Amino acid sequence: MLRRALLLSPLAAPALAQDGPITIIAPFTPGTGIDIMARLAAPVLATALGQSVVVENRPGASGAIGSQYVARAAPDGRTLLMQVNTFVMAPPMFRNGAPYDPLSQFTPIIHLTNGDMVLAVNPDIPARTLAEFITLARAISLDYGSPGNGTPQHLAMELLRQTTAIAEMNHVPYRGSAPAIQDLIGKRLAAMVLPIHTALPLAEAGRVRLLAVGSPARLAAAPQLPTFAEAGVTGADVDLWYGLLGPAGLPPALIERLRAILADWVRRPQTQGALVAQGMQPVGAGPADFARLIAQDQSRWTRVVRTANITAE
Amino acid sequence: MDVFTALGGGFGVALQPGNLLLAFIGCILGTAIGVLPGIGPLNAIALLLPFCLALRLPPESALILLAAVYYGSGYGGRITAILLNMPGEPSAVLTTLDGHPLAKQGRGSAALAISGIGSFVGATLSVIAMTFLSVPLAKLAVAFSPADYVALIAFALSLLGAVSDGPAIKAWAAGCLGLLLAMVGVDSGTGVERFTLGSLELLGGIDFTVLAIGLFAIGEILLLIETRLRTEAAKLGGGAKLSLREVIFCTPAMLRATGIGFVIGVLPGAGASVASALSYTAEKRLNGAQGKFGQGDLRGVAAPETADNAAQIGNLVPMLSLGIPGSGTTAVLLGALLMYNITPGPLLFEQRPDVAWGLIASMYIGNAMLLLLNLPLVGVFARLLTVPAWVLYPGVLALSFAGVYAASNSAFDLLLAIGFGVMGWLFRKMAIPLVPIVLGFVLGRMLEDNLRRAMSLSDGDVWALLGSPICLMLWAMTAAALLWPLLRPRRV
Amino acid sequence: MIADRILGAALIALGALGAVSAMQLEVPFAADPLGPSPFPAAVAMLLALCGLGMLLRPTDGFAPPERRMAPPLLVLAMLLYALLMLPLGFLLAAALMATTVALLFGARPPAALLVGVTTAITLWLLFDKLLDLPLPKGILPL
Repeated sequence: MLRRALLLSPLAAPALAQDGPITIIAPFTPGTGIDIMARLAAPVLATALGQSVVVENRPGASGAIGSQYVARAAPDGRTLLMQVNTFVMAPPMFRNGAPYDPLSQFTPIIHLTNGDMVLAVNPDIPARTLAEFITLARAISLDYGSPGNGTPQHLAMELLRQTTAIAEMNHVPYRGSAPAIQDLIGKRLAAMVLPIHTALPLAEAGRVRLLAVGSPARLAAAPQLPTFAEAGVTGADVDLWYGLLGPAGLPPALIERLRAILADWVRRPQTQGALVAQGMQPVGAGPADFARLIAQDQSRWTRVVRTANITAE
Repeated sequence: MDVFTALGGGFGVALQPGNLLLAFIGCILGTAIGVLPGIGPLNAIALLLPFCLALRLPPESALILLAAVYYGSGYGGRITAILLNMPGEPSAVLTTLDGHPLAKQGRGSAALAISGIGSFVGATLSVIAMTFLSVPLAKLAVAFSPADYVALIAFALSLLGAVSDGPAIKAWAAGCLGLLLAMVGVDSGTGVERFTLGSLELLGGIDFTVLAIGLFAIGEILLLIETRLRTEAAKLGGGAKLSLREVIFCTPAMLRATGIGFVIGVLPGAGASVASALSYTAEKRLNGAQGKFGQGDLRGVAAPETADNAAQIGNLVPMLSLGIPGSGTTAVLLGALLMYNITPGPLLFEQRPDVAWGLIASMYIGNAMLLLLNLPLVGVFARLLTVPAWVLYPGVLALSFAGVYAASNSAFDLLLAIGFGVMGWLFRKMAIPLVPIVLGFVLGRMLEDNLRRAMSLSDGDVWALLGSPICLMLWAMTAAALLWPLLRPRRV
Repeated sequence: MIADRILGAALIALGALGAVSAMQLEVPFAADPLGPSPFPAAVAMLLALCGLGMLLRPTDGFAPPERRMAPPLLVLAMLLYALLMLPLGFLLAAALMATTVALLFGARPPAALLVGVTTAITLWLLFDKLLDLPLPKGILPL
């Protein structure tokens, strides 16, 4: 068939798994950062491996449904998982027992990119700097939104709240970013932590006001915005990391093959354009580094979640 | 900026011969895929994207191909909805109500023709409306709060009783079942498992395809097998062609449906299902006595189809002006743009007007192409179906099962579909309508999500649900819809 | 009449079970003021009420099928397909099921067998080969 002929380019390597498509599970709805990463990576893998690679969305429970599915899949390279920090943030939230263990049930393959986040408020809020925002938040309980419980945007705000000793903020979880942004622009929400590429166009259109970025250094895309640290808040740095994983027990040769293809792709100049449009910077770190990052992030965010629970009643 | 020049530019691109060819191929492929149960436009798009990249198609051309595939698959879903009573997607469900009876009367091709015409009319008028009204409508989109959505969906659900002719209480029972089925699975807000009976497979919830194929396809075949054997062919497609007079007859319905569909489409997340449900029930209520809704009224097909397409165009308004994707459709189509390093969002109109308007023009071209292909395509399918029942239905059943399995890789889903099939069969024998089950299923999640958001924003204050003029108006309409059957004068 | 009453009773039971199940949900931490319980519980109770209505005011009867055994046999054929598909593979299971369905629709055995086998092979080619959506192979050496 024509399609297969196109996929079997001269670069094709022998197929790795049994025939049949490779599925990258994107455990969130179409259009989200993870989904887009998966859809960008899929054709790259397809061309290099000579097999068809499809992206399947399995949203729900802050990515737990999709992650669980991959944890239980056979480690033959046919089922992979694209994830973001939510991966380690979600499990501690399930009091009935975590649905999966991010460390033992998965094989990290490659840490692909990092994304930056920024604190945004609706234009009616009387705060033009991070300091003013904190003062306001301490005085009255503000409503903030997130794409769901346990998402990086949710926990970033939580971390900010804990670090700056704001007594109370009302978290409104949504199903995905779109309805949350709708309510932020509609001024029903006071604030929200947003990925930079989503926030900038909205700010340029005057729909939201940006206060500070959560990265360690100022961003090239928005050099006028101070970092949290510059604005006086330390220890609240947040970013998004995107990576590919497989079920536990993936053979090392397979891991290395996938890592090599994607690491090469992420560093190509042409890929830069696509990544910057998503507010991301390429990383391309291998399994060992990725595993360390996951472990570190897991303890960090588990602490935030546990602390939040104590005061949530 | 001069919208006409821009739209003209978009069309200029869309009408180039190469792109028209792509639209043609896309429509045919899309229709073929849409007819297959369980395989949806996303599969088709996934198959074609690498093809687009390999051929180095410019973004506008890729969009035209993908939009044509998308529309084609919607159309394929209509074909199975009308000819076989098997809706391929939620918005095709309402088409079955009058479409399938029409097919049984031998007027399947007429039903498909009015479906194509309705879609075209809905798309055309909506594109015009969009060019003039995007700005005020974008404001409306943002002004709708979760409480308003709750009122809107409650209104849509309150009309469930109007969907069928039988006793309203049966429609309500069906709707409640649909609502409960939507809640099976893990609750995304809290991670709590609901109604999963400890089963792993149910954690992800019930798939629409499984429900629809079970209730409609399997249920239908169970019903058919009851009767004494007939050996004559199923003549579904032939029969009187659609006459011009009939098209004119449907026009007021189509115009109303465009209005309803477009406005509801502008509200992000409200979706084509709400639009088609509301326009169907509105037409039924308006024309009640003289119409033959439920037994094969052409307006019963024209209205939901028009509203569905108008809503899809309406969905573009918040997407293009605010960067808020209105539906899975637009999210997927625009996801394809990312392959070309184009970020969809509010600045798309300014930075890449050729792409933004190309997208609109491509959706339009897709509709137009389908209209042109309508007659031959329907002819092909109608002829394919004039085979004896003992050839057709084993094929349909095996196809349905293959589709369900291919979509989910789960034998459990097959068992679930069979279960729904038995339920669908028994319900139809007991005059319990199936459409409210599906509507409840599709709308239930939206209703609960928005209800909970509204409560979060108001810190648990229930009166927030009546907090805006929009809410009050919608709730008043809901109350009216609920009380109307009790208050209207009884017919002698 | 009686069918409506039976279903009505079943719906009451289902609604009651659903409401109880929903109300017993343990909410891990206060995510939103409403929580996951009230909505399903309310809908389940509404379902029970509808069931009550059907129980008290049943409408016309349930016409028994002309061919009493045909629908249950069809259900059996489908169930066997679902259970045998993985062990036997799609081709065999589908061929068996399609043949049975054709027989139930009145085809003579040779014709039914032809329909069954052709359908299974065509679908196999379509899904597994053309669309690259794999179907189970089962015991066949493919």
